Amino acid sequence: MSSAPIAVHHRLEPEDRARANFYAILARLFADAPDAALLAAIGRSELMEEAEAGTLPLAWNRLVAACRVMDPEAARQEYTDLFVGTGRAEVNLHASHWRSGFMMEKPLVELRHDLAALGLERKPESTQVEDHLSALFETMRLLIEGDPGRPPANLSAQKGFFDAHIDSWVRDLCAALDDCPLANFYRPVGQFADKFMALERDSFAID
Amino acid sequence: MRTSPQREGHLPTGSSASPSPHTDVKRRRFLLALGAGGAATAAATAQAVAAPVVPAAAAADETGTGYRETDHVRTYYASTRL
Repeated sequence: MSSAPIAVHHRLEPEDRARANFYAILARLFADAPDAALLAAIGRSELMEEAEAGTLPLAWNRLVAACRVMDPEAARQEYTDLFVGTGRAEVNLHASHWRSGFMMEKPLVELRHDLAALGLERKPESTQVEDHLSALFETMRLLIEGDPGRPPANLSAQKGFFDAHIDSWVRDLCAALDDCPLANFYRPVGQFADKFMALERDSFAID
Repeated sequence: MRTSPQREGHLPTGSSASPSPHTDVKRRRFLLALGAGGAATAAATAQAVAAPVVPAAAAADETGTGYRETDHVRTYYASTRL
């Protein structure tokens, strides 16, 4: 089912709008390779100021720059090589792969329970398992932004989901992506994701 | 090892249980680094593709019949296809 961009119905502070936007972009980039329209849209995005070494603004600006020069066909091939592969993906995007030490499927069962408690479920036509990074980022976007049928979730609900299902493994995934020799376009994607996750982690820790 | 999450903390409860005003100000100041709106068009373009998760209630509303495709129904329909 195709759908138009979701209309904005809830008033958000600019920071939360920006967070929702970044989650939306990352959810899409990890769901599938960017097409020409998405590369162009990100490439036209505003660059961020104060882009010093090791900061989120620099990582964002590098991602924008990468989108300006990336060829969609090459991006498609790279996505397949990195995340789909034959038999075993170079870089696994599923939480259950990274969260060792748990009984098999326990994190996925907990995730399904938490999604149900939040009134969310996997789209029937989706080929993704719920613990795919893209689905987790999309859930964060929904919690932050709400949608026409639901208000934005409060900060403790956002933090609860982030802590339980994303925080423990996303750093390892981003590091693996950074180290992967096959990564080209997805290296700046991973670096931006890493910086954004660090900012989320630190901002949730403020009390 | 991680402690198991508190279930209550996962439930969206609208604007109740917000952080203290002081925390909120500190947090917003911290998040200023994110800027405002510079990625809005890209985000809208990203969302033009069907998302992997949907709010269950909204999915039911779309049909206008109150019908909701549960796992059970889905399994049933899958069993009718060969």
